[in-house]
Amino acid sequence: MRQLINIELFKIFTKPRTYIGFGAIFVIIVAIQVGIKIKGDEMVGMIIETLSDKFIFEGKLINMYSVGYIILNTLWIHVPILVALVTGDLLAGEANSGTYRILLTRPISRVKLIISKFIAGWVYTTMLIIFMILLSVVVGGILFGTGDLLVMTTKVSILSSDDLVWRFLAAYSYGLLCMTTVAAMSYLLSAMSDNSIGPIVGTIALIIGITVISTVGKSLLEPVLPYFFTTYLTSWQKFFDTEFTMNMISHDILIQFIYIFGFFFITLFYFRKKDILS
Amino acid sequence: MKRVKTRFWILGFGFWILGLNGFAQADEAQVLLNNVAKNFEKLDHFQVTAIIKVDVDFIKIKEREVRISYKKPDVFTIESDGLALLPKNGMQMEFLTLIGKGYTSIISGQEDVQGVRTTIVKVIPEAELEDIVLAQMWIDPAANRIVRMKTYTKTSGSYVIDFKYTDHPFNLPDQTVVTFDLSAMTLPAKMMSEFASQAEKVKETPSEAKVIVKYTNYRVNQ
Repeated sequence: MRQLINIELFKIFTKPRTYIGFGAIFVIIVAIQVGIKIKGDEMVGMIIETLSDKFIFEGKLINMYSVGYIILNTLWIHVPILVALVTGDLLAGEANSGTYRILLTRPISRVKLIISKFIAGWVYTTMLIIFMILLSVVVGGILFGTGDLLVMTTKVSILSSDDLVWRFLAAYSYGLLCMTTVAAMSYLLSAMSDNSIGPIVGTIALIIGITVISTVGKSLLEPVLPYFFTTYLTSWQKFFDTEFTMNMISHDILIQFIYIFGFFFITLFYFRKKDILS
Repeated sequence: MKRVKTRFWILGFGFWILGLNGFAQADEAQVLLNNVAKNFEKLDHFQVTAIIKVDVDFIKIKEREVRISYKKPDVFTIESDGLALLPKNGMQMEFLTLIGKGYTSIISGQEDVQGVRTTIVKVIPEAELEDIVLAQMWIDPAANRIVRMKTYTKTSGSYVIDFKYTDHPFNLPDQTVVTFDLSAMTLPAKMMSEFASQAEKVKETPSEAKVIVKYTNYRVNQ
């Protein structure tokens, strides 16, 4: 099994498209950080505009953590695209390049193949998130240094720097869980397609489509919104609530796991019965 | 004609009495403020540690410690290790600046504050002070110190500052409670990728903010 995973990882990391994700993350994060370094004061001024009528902020508002928080906000916008770029190709890529038949004539079960490809896809997703964390921490640390974090939602929370490391780790872990759901969905679409474009575009279209429809037609879709995994993509923000408890996030985590296992087992079931024609 | 002359004199006398009373009140206010100012005559500079507690329903922040330095006549510097949220008024002991510069003052009554009989003095700064257009001070005439101060500012509304003292030689406060209005304030709820319907929630916020500042470890003229 380990050998299978290694082979799949080798396949993933020998494809140039794999590095598009890392390259895009590098460009986006560095661009955000440099942009904040140059124009951060204006941006912060805009955020705290209403508060600054009554309060004075003493201390460093722009620091590694606040920039990391802004970067985390972009996680659910661009990382799904980068995840789908690779996971959407895992099975459809084999069909596309005509290697399905050769692959499945080897003495390995389809179940093992599906598991190993999924694990390899998950490893890629994890590496993408770890790369994101490293860039945020290393470049952010060099450019901004540490400090407390100001979070503005329906309330204003100021979190001490010594209370932030676990929150960021938890938020990134939850982000990874959400991206695993995205990976599982694109993997399912990949199993159903003979061309990589379909699953990649399909995944993005589904995520963006559901999110837009959920936002625009909120009142119409209110009863079904709790059942969409996209509803919980931004739940990592709950880790930055001063009164955070696990009860606040456990339901969201459960939904993601249900979707991951749901997508995975449908893929498994579908692929076992799939007639290989290419 | 004689009647008209008599009326004229009575009216003149009335105005004179009123004017005299006004001058007397202004003098009395001046004396009170001078007595308060005497406390700070020998105050050249000080450093103090302030522990700040922000009591606003929608602001979640733990108590913060900041270091405040003052240098005569009105140079204040505030330093903090972390991120601290301070009220725009009430942190820089504005009374020091107010009574240290030119002003017009008048007594406007008496009131019991914190169990102390105080005299209310209205102070209008003559010079363009940074933001304050009018201040109302509740002065304890026995101890020559300000027990309460209400400042009306150009840009951020009014602030009420309650002072609590122990027995500091320079009559510097050990605690101030700054209270101000927040009813007109709205938060940019959607700023951090939050979606609709949150702005309404923000409007439910309380209309009053309270910031409690405890001063410890004063180092005066050292």
